[in-house]
Amino acid sequence: MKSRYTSLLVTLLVLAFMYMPIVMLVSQSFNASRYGGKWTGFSLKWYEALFNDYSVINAATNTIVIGLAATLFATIIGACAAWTLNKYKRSKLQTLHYGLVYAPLVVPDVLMGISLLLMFVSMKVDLGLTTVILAHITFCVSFVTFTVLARLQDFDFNLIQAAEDLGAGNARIFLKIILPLLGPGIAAGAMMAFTLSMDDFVVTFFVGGPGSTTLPVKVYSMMKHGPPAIINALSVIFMALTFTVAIAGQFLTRKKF
Amino acid sequence: MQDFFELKNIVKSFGENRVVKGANFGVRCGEVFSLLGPSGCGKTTILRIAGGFEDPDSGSVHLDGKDITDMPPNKRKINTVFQNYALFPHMTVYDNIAFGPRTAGMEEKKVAEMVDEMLKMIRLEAHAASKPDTISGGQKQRVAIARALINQPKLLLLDEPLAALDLKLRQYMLLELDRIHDEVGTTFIYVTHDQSEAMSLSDRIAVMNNGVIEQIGTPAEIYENPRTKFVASFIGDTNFFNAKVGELLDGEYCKVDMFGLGEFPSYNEHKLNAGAKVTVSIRPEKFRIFDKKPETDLNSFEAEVIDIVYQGAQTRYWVKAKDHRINIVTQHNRCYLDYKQPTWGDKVWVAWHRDDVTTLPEESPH
Repeated sequence: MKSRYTSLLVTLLVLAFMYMPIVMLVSQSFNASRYGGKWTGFSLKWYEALFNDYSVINAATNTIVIGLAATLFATIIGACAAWTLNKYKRSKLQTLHYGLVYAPLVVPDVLMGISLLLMFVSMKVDLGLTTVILAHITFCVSFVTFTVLARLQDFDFNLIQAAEDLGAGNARIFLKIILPLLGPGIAAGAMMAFTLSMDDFVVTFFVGGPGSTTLPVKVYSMMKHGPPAIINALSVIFMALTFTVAIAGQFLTRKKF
Repeated sequence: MQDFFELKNIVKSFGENRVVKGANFGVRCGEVFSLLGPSGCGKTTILRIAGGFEDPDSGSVHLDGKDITDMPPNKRKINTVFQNYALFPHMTVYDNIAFGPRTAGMEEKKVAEMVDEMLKMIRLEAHAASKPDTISGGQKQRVAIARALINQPKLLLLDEPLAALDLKLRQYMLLELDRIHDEVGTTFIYVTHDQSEAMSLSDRIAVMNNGVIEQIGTPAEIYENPRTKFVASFIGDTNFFNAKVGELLDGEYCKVDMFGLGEFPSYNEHKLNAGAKVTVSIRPEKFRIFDKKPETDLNSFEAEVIDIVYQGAQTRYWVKAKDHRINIVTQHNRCYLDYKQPTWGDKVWVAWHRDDVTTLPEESPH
């Protein structure tokens, strides 16, 4: 009996440790007080102020545009890379390929940011939305590749031969067999890419330019200038968005036929 | 009879490894033809070449008088039942079976009719809406067969279709396969490593070893008159004796000197000359054990019983004569065994008929 209470207590403590800051953030965003801390009443005024701030709306739009563009390209490239890695897994070249795709997962963001910046500057590319999108594609590809690769490892390639045997051409095999079976895996990879792109601060901070401010960068800059309560409201909306995408991604990965 | 499906001089290598070394055979219309051999003998590769999933390095494939060597799988009037069934997991049993006709662009009303007919044939009407992972192995197997047969192929290829099933189910599915074949009359090519499956289902069997077809014949021909040592030992049990052909006798017989045991008249199927080195194969059930030298024209020698294994329907004896250990199977049947059963250490006489001997040339025909 005693151990049951102990484990319950530990669980609660861990949960509190993990989610307390988020609970604080959410509750403070509804606090009428400007600097937080003391509860002075429930209010939606910070959310109102947020939606009237043009630069915030602009940052949100940038975040979504960058996220969608990076996701689209990263998903296409990543899915193709996964297909190749799976098909030729025994070749030496693919071992190298695997390593190259894996590296961005372990390279620190700062390094990635600096090296991308260095490249863009030396190539005389103007920093802006394009450079941010390119940078996001770079790190998102790895995540998509490994998500899709995991799905491919369970994929029975005899199914393709079976469909061929039953008279199907390439288009029909792709539409009726490959897409329905790999679609959820690819979608999960895309969701992951989108969340990562949305969340990214470090790389964006390095390669961003005028007019490419994203929500995380905006939050950071508001820390210096804006009222903290608005930041809370912004963070809550941002968090809600990220959670939605992440949970949708989880749901797709788990889906079984 | 004109061969309906033919493979001519098929050679196939994977890298350095020559898997099929010149395969030639013809399958007759409506026949169940088995490719039988141990794993790695090239039988699955031949099946995949027939299905169009592998291109032969050389040689040609003919179906119904047409050369189809370069035709892709989706254009051949051939369908395959894959070893692991390869049912589409995201489709119902119904949609799996309907895949072929739908691909062919058939209208849905006709498709429904055909699928219903197939479901009836495989007795799975109740599972039309089930997903493949909710039905049993035997049921999956039947769906895979229906999915292939609904396309009314000229030839059905079956790749070890029963390998994944347990013994009881395998025996049941063998009867099912036989029934389905009788019902549709399609030509079957059946790949297996299980000799009893091949024997009970096939009209003819091709025994393969090491990329070479060693013998093609009916199950009885292959069992009773194996042409090579490999065939004799792969199909059923046998006893081999090193021997030498002696004097040629009248008809198709010759004397064979089975070293140490004596000279015995034997059937000389391969018309070997006197002095030729041979391997003599005599199957365990062809021997009969006597308590004294039989007063007939049977061949016989004296031996000592060294081991007895009771197996219910039969008893297996190991007897020793000179340097030979001989495996003998007898049935417990009073019409057949008219004296007390021998026991360990008994001196007995082992006898056989001259026609029950296969003399194989030391050098195989290949």
